[in-house]
Amino acid sequence: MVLDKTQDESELVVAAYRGDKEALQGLLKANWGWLKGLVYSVLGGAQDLDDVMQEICLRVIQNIRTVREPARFRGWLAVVARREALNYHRRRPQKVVPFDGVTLPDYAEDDVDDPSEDLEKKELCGRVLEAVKALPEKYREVFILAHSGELTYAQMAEVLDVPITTMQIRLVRARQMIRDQVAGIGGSEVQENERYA
Amino acid sequence: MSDTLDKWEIRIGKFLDGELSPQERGLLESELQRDRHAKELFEQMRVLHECSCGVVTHEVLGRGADPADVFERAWQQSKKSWWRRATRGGLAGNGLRWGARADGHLRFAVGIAAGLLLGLVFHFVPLPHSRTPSTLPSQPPVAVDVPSGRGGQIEREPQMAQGGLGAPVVPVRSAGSPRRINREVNWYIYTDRDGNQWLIEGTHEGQVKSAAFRNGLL
Repeated sequence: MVLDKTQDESELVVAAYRGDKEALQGLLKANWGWLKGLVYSVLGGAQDLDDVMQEICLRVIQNIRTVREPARFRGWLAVVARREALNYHRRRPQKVVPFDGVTLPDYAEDDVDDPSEDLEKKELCGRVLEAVKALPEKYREVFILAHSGELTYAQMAEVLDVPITTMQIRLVRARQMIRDQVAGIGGSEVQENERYA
Repeated sequence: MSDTLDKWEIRIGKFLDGELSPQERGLLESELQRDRHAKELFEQMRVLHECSCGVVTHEVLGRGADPADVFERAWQQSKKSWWRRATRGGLAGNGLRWGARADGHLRFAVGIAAGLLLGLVFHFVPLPHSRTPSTLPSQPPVAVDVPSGRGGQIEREPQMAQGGLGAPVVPVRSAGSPRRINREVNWYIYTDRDGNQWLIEGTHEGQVKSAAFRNGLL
C-alpha cells in the first residue's frame, strides 16, 4: 500500500475529478482494507459487507467532485463510508448472530508445529474475535483499524476525526478490554463501558 | 491499574504497532530486561496482538469480493443510475407511471418548466375583458371650466371635452373663483352670532375647510 504518499493520492484525486476511472479505482483500492475495517466496525459484523462497500464506491464515483482538499481525501472517504454504513445498518433488520456458531479460522497453522499449541491458539483467537465483537463501537473501530496494519496512528486519527492522543487512549483501552475479556475478567458490554468510561 | 503498568502498556502497544521512536524503544528494552512483570506483560500483549491481527485479517480483510469487481459493479451502476432514476419502472414498462415514479429532482425540474411555460402563455395571450396598455387613452385627463353656482354641487360625473380625443374631463369652478380643480365638493352657508355668513366646503372624504367670507369677499 502506498497510503503514506499523500501527494500521489492527491494527484489521483485530481485525476478522478476529471472522470478518470482508473484513478478512482486506484484511490479506492489503496484505501480498501481500512475502509472495510471501518464498515465492519459500524455494522458489527461481516454481513452485507460487500453491499455496503459497493454503495460506498457508488457514492465516491458520484461525489468525488465535492472533495475540496485532495490532500484530505482519506478523511472525506471515512465520512462517506461511515454514513453509508450507518444508513445501511439502520435500514437492515437486526439479526442476532450467536457467537457459539463461529467457526474458528486456522490463524496459526503455518507458524505452529505442535498441534496442541495450534489448538490452544485457535481457541484464543476465537475468544479474541468474540471480545472484538463485544467491544463498544468506538473502541472496536480503533482496534480493527490498528490491527489491519494499513494505517499509521496519525492516519487513524484522521480517519476517525479525533486527536491523535484520543485515538491512542481508545486503542489502549480497547486492548485492555480485550485482554480482560479473554482472561475472563471482563463482564458485559455495559460493565466494560462503565469501567473504561 | 498502576501508572507504571499503563506506561508499559502504552509503550508495548506502540512497539507492536510500529510507532515507537528509537529513544522509546531503548527505554522499553531496558525496562524489559530489568522488570519481570514488564516482560510478562510484553509476552502476553505480543500473543494477543498476533491473534488480533490474524482475527482482523481473516474476519475483515479476507472477506468479501475482489475490490476490482465491487468497483466495476458500482461504476456500471453509476452510469445507469441517472437514466434509471428518470425512468425507474417507467418508460420501459408503463409510460403513465413515469410522472409518479420520477425522483425528486426530476419532479422539481418538471415543475419549474411547467411554471415557465404557463408564465409565457399568460404573457403573450391576452385574457378576455382585460385592458391591456394598447386600449388605454393615449393622453392624460384634461381639466376644463364648467359653469359655477348650480345649486351648490358640482356634477359628479366627469364630462367629455368637445372635440377632444376621448380623454375624461374633470369639472372645475368657472372664472372668478380660484382656478383650482375640485372634485365632488359639497358646501353650505353658516351664519355666526355676529351675523357673518361663512361658506363651508366639505370634500368627499369628509374633510371640512373654510372657503370664503361672504360679507367681505363675495
